[in-house]
Amino acid sequence: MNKILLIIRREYLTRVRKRIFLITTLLAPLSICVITLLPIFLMEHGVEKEKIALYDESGIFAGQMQNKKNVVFRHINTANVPYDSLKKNYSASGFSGILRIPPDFTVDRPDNIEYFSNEQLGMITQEAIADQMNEVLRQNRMKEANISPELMEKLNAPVQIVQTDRTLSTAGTSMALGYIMGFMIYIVMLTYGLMVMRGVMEEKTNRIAEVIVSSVRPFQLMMGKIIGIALVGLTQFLIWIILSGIILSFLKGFYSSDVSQLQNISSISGQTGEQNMPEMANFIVDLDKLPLGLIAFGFIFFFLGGYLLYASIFAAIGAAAGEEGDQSLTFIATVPIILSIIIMMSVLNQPNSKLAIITSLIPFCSPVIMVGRLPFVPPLWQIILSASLLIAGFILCVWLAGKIYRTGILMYGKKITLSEMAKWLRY
Amino acid sequence: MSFLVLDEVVKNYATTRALDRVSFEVQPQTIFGMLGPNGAGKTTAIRIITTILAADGGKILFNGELLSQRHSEHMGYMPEERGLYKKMKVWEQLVYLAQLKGMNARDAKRKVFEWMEKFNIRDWWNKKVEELSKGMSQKVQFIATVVHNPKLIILDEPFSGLDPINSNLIQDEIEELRKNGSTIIFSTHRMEQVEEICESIVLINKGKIILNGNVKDIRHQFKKNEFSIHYNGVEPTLPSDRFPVIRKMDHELVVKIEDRSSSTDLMRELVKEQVEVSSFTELLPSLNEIFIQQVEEKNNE
Repeated sequence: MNKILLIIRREYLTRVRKRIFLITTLLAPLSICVITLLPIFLMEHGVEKEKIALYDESGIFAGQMQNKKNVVFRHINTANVPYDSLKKNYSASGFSGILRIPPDFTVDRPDNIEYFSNEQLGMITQEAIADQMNEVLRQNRMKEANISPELMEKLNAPVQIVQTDRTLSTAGTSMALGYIMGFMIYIVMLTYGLMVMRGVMEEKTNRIAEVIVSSVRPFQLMMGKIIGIALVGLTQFLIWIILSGIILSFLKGFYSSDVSQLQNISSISGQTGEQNMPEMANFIVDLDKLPLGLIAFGFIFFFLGGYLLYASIFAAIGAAAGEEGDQSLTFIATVPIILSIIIMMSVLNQPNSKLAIITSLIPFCSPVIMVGRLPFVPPLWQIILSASLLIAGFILCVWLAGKIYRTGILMYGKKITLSEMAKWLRY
Repeated sequence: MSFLVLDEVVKNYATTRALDRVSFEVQPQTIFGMLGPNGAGKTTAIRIITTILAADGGKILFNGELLSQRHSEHMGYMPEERGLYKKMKVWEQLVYLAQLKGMNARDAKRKVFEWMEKFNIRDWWNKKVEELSKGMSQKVQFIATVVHNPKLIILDEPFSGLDPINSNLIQDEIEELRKNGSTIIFSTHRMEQVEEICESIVLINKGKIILNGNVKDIRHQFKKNEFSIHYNGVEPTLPSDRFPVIRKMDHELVVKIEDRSSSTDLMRELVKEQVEVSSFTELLPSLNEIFIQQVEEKNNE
């Protein structure tokens, strides 16, 4: 159909050519990156090295404290340097503070360590210090109890739950991915849906609609607009996918040592040594374990299905409302979209609950919720059923919306009620 | 053969009947007026002809063929409520609308520029519609209606909001299009224009046709046998049983001729009275009078 292509082309070009399109396309991922990655980056790399004077009068920690990424310990010879004089000039010697272990400190009652500084001790530093000291104390206690390190390892051997078909360890990553994707669908359905609505309202208030529908069928005009705007969205997505590919490879390079280390560990022992690795590296490693093809396909399918469903509802609302300012009917479409994202939040915590299964089958919320569940790899029958119901749902919505649209777009100067819209379905 | 035939066309909206067995014919290469008060069903009839709406009953023939969507390419429609995409450039908009009417891009561009040349708005081709004055955008709308050289042109209140210059321009253009082979339907309230340009009319009220035919015939059909006589000198006296005087003005009498007599009788009487007559004209009712009278009559029924 040649004419619907003309409409799609116009809808697409007029939007993509606008400067605002370029700006939002480039700025949106940039701001998301900054918001999500900056704190992680700062936490791991923005920390200054703290030099700490270790004033150990008990002699227990002598030579045992190891330097860490962000903390460096210097042993102070307690025989030569009196504590009071250190207190006076620690800062001039480049120390952030003094960690004093009093002479009466014992392994059994480790509760009288002092930290002296006129600066607040940071969380991370404090944790690093405590971890170090605990480790030293543990070694000492083991020695006292005559426990060899080999025995200790035996005693400490942790339980291993290995799920045979997929690894439990990806849960965190699945949740993050599900959240990001569900949220994207939510944003897209809302913003592009509203874009369709505004486009329809523009045609109605500009009084161009009647001229156009004397050349093409109203349904072609409506679908042309919906598809044209979908292509705008896909263009935006394509740019985003390319951008995030670039960012991801940048991150992979950035964390390359951690990633390869993780991959080695998991390939040797079949388990991941997550504890000491940065979150980002975990995320990247886990991503490779998920069925990314299925997730990407599902994402695009549910994006298109959900978009078509809601865009047609928005188009019908735009055609009915028309005259400027009268957007009170918008809630019909916005409420279910917003509800979906709220439900998704709790579904992500229990991706196989009854709520999750039921809501991911309902076409009005499945685009958000099923996509949120995809990284948890729900049973195939659920995905297929949900997809089929979504197809049926949007065909029904497009059909009904077409009827309302057809009448609404030619109706001027009248306040339209819901019951009126219901009447148009019978025209 | 009639160019357009409406035969017993019916259209219902949920509870109201918008068109009730409407039938009329439009001859090719004529200008046809569709009249009626607001809400009479004119716009519904036009939307059915332009294939925007489907009729619930009856049939429509377009150039001898049963009307279908594909005929819309041979029609140009300027609705009463008309507008353009504000953010689009003038030429892009016109080319787009022409393409929707089935023209290819190259022909559309050529024709658009021809028409813009003709209407003296060639310099505006690259402007956005929102930058145009009202008169300018009316010209653009008219070009959009006729650029694809339609066989049937439908204009709904084409002169509403037009300044006299544009109004004349478009009136001339309509006449030229007719000469070049187009058939034109236009709907309006302004009767004096209908009398001036239309050959035939149809008068619709409450979804029904109450008058249909040639403008001259209709005016004769509703004539009241009144004659205006201009004279010099003394006021003549006429037998009031046969020629009652309706109005008297300065050296003018309006006289009704009763059924038994004819205009020849009246002239004979005037000659007999030795009246110096400077003009003798039959007064035909204006379409406006007929329109109001007919609509009121039907509404009182």
